[in-house]
Amino acid sequence: MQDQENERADGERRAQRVLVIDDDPALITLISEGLRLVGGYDVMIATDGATGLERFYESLPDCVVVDVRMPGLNGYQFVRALRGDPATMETPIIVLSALAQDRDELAGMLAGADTYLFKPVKIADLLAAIEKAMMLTADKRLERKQWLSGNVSDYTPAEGGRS
Amino acid sequence: MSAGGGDYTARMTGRSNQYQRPALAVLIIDPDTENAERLAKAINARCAVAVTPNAQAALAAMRIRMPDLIVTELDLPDVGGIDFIKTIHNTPATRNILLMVVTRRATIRDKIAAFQAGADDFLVKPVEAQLFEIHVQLLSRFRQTIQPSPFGP
Repeated sequence: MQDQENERADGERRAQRVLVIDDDPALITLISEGLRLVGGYDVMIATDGATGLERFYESLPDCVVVDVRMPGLNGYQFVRALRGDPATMETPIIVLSALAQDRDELAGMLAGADTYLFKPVKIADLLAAIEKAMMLTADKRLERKQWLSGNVSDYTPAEGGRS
Repeated sequence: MSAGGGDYTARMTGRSNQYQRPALAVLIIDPDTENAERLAKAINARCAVAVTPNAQAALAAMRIRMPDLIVTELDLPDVGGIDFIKTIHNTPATRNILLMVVTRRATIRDKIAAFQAGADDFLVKPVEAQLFEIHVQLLSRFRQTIQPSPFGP
């Protein structure tokens, strides 16, 4: 409520921008309409990874939603392209994929995604993931990266279970 | 989310404790030898590292020990970095080697060209030692995840 009033009072405050990259045009339409109408985001789109990277640098969005399997430059590469550059490494990134195995999810997280969502995705879930990713701090991202890479010195693997 | 990932990570960590994995063989190519040595030092504890100043020496080093990961600058004195990546990526004997670019040449065009040529990761110089080490580990785990060992699930 307070936020809405502030927004109205401050006409220069822009809607937050989300870049959606997916090679499925029907899905892009669905997602971008949802993000616009329900989430109130400005949405930019690209249908392959290389164009997505160009769009990213042109528009510097607040969050990116990216598919994994794409021609040319895939979603994993796209995520690493942003994570390897200090200028873009803190970008909130959601990976959206039809690859729905646990190991695909882990691969997405290892590539540097903030969240991995399986297709088909509900707009409400996507909006929640975007909001959550945008609240992540640099410290949190570093902590998770260290944990995923096994560089946390006091980390002890779970006992028993599958091995 | 983290529950699924955590489970797998724990499993991999657990397994590597039981059956020690061979150290990741890493080849670093950078004409800036000071930087190459700095990067090597960052991963020395966990990896078997070789350092060369150019592509020619890198190919010679690869005949002695085939690396699991090549870390290369794009500005090489003897060949174009992108061409070098393409060669590695398109040669059957070397196409499974992970490729990480660590470069001062970091235009969007360079990034896209490197990834399209077959690079897996791209770090922009100056690179912090800690970030480099983390990315090497993440890439190595990523490869284990995407292409599981033929000996296990």
